[in-house]
Amino acid sequence: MADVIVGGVFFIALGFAFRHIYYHFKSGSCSCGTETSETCSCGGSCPHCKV
Amino acid sequence: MSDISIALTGNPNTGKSTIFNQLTGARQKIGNWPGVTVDKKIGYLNYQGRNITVVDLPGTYSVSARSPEEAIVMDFLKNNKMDVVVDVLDSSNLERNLFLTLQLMEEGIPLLIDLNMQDEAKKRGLVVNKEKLSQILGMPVVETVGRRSDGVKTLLSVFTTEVMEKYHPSEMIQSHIENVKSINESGKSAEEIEEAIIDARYALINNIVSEVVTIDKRSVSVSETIDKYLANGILAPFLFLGIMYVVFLITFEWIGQPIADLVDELVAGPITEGATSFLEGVGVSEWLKAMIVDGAIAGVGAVLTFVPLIFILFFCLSFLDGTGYMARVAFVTDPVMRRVGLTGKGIMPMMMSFGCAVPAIMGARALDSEKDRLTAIMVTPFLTCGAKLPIMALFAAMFFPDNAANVVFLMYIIGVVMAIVAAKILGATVLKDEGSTFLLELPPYRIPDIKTVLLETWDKGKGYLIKAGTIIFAASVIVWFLANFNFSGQTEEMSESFLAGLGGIIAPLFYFHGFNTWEAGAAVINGILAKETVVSTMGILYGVAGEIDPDTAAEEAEIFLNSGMGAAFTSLSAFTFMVFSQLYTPCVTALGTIKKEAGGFKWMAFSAVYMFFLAWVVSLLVYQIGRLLGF
Repeated sequence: MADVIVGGVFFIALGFAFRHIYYHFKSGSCSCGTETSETCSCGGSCPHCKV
Repeated sequence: MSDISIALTGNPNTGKSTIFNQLTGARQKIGNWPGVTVDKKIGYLNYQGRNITVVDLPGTYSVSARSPEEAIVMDFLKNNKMDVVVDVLDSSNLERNLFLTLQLMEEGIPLLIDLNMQDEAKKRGLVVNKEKLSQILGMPVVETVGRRSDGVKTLLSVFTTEVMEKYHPSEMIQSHIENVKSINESGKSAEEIEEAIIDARYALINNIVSEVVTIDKRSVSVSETIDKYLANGILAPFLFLGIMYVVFLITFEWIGQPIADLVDELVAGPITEGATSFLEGVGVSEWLKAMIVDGAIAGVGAVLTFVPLIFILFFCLSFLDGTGYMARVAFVTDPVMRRVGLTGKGIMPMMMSFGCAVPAIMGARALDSEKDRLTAIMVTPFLTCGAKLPIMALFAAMFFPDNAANVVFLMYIIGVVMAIVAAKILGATVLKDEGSTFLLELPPYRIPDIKTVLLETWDKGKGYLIKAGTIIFAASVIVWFLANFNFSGQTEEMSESFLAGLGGIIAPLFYFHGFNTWEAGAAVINGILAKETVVSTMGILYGVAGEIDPDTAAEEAEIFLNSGMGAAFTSLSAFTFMVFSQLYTPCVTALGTIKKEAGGFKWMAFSAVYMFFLAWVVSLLVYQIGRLLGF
């Protein structure tokens, strides 16, 4: 049971980290108002972390 | 009441960003302008129940669209209907600042004039008649001292109460605008038209200045006196090196390192021990405990220890920038940097790279030409960043105990020399271009606005905190998994793990370098994730857990020597490994930053491949020549 709870919390956090990495390096490098690489022309910062 | 939108425009170094920070505080969104790596800042505030949005436009001397910044300002002001456009002027230099003002007026953009830096003007004995200026230009004029927040409230109340429509340009301005129109329609060549318009603007500016500015007294400029030593003469380069040395002492010795040591102790002690006790207490499986403690906490903790150093370094650099000294640094180092194919502004990314390549790559934005920016981005990762230092400290102490400091210093020199060689090679090949010029204004020396310094430090440094919580967190768990699992499941023997397999694949690449072991191969792969992990990977693989503090490297080296690592390297192959580690592919975060700043995947891939290739060739030469010389 402890494995399920602790592991669950840990892997959810890990999932958020991977989600961030996905947006940061793939589709999200955009800060000009749109959130996908298809519509972004600014080559700007990540919409999630603003870096 | 309706919301208000405001744009701030003006020349560089007029205190525009300080006014922006005073107005909006920390309520800012920072990004890029579309298509270019020029900072876009938008801030928000609420004043007397009205929501105000403030856009900080890039500082420009004109709006002739010669640079990306000029194009952004013109494009933005033409295509966005702002309620108020504030033109921030340096009161002590109206001759230069009014050029942009006139250009904007010719374009029919209604302005509110902010006569900023009143204190500087007073120091120079200049008095500006704001009523007269308002009457001539036909627009409201407010006096401010941004860094003391003087007049900012008045500026706010003008935003919300003034009716712009009631102002009308004087006859002097109206006839100038007519004159510009007729010059444009004269049918002359573009160059002749431009020249005639510039002459007309300066003639008008001289008239305006003679009417509104009076000189109370002839005061001696303190800045000119200081510049005799800091920006000119034989002493200037030595004073620059001295100031940078003090910055590094503050960062790595006096303030930054003690805080970093505290964070290190906190991570290694209470956090690790607390997490271990908690996980054992609730009865989680051994593998889950190991993944959290040895993987996530150890990996994230290793990066967190660097965060204080980064913040202190950025604080010092932002502080120096605020004093006006950084403009002098570019001026002083320009002759040397030109020999490398850059301009004086390239020195800043180079300096930052000794802390970390990521801000250095981002700092390359300050360079004027695309060629200079790309050159700086491509060469700064060769320099010795803070994450490479533990590798150098450990190997030097292990294999060159009598000359450890000299060997580490030699690695710094090798990094600098390779950066220079690479800049020369790139300048002659892929980044071939005509020599660039840069316009550099030396602002007066001033006491920096601490709020602006702190905000800049936070803006630049917060990326590390986010990196630790995301990329390093995920990478640490992956490395832990690769080092502890194989196709049969969890393994006790690391030599049978995925990581050993991966290390073994690239190990043959280093057959002629003297370190073709899977452990070295695995450390090299991990080093691409984060350079910090080269030493910790070696520690894990040779059964010596823990991190390496450069200050205690000698004691740590003894432990490493007694492990299998002492037998895996000779002095020559260890030196070769150090050279390779110094020069090869930057970490993934730096690569990601290169992709963003250089504008595409191809530059990131180019950087990864050419740096690996150069490192491979140089370290091969080091090993083979060393062998020929009998080392």
